[in-house]
Amino acid sequence: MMRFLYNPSAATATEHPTELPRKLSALRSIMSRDALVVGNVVGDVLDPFVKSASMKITYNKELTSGSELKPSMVATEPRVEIRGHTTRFLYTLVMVDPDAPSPSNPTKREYLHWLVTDIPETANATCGNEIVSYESPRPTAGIHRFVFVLFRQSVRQTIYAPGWRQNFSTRDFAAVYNLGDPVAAMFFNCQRENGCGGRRHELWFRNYERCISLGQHQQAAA
Amino acid sequence: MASSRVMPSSSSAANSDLARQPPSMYSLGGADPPPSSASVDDPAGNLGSTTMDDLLRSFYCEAEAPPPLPAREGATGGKMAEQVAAAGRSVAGVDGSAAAGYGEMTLEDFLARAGAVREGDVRVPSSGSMQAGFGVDPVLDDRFVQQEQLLTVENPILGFGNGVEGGGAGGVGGGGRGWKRPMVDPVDKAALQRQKRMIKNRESAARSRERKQAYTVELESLVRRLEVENAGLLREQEEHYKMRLKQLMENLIPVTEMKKPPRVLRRTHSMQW
Repeated sequence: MMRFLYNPSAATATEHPTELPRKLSALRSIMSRDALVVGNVVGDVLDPFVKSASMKITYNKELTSGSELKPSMVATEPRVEIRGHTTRFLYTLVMVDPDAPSPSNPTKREYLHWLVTDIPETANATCGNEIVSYESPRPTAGIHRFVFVLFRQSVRQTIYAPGWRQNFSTRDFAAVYNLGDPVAAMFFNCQRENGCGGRRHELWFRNYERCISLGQHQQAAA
Repeated sequence: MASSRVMPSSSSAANSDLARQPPSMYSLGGADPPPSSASVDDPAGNLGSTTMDDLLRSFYCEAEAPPPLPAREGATGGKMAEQVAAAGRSVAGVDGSAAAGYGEMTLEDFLARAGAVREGDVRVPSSGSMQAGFGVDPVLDDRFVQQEQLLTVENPILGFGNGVEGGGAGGVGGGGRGWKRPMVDPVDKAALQRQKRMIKNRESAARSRERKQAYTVELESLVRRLEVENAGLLREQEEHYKMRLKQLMENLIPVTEMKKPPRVLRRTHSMQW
């Protein structure tokens, strides 16, 4: 299925306005074949949309949605290219962290990391207007998702930086500036440089397991 | 940590039940908790599975009857989802305009909001029974404390953020503000901690499964895309080769039509004697 349709059924759209416990959204995401839905980015940050632009993000190498990167790899801003044929359209790029300060307790959802506007098609983000400068992701607790959202501007408009980075809402932002639905989105995961993938007690557990098995051997021998 | 207080006793049992349902989805035939109709749980952690009933009953208005519980053994995802959605809808109905939190919300938040339903009914009598100290229903205590904590955390929220959510929680939790923290049994506290940890662990496990799956899905679609592109490019290359060959053949034809004169052997530089 080559079309990038992010709203497989009307049912998911109508369920959104009500408060769904996590389990139900998990159910929905299982049935989708799109990383943004499965990773719950559509849901936490965005509403279902149809992809209509081609965005390529490069941190040393091209980014694949859902991949895991280290803070050292994402310390400087990536190269963001918007593929196209004319320079007629202008785009706005937003980068947010919906899992700030920690995914189990996202009180600062969403934390704005980068905001660039007036990016012409076929060009790079450096050609645009950097409203909010790039802040390196430095997650302290848990594994955070970092989401890039691209909007197509209808006109060259002045967008003002919000007063603070935390508790940014991409949805409200798009509504206020009339950006409409997003045209493309990507995300990656990132945790502390020396993180252990959330398995904080694994070393202890492995050791414990080893002791148990040793104990059993001794008993068998005796 | 905002929702650090987790409901004890009955609602925690329901909590663990709501939490337990989907794992049965993933591993059908896993040991399910034995159904029992009594709502007795001992703090040792052997939480009865019953209180799903109680929880649902408390959500629904008197007019509506709670839907029949799905059979524990064969709890299909569909039925559970229906039930949870129905519960969610009714909670949302009570909360009215506080329809924040698109999609993802932790189980604690959900049950806190569910707690908002019960709190509205019992706020007046509980403030009276506050003096009783130990006699206070621990369920109410923790909900009040939790609302308080939710409120303090959501205070700094400004700007484009979840203003509605803050407003909703503030409205409900405002009443319990000047209330002293009641004494919680150390045994209960341990049970609470365990509950809290279990929920958090489940959620983080769910999140990591999601992460893994999202990456896999993305890779699969990438593979499909690349395969198609590859097939297209190979085809194009084949066509180019054919074109080139045809061109070369056209150039050759005049040449092949020329014929060499037949060789004739002659004797030269040799002598006959």
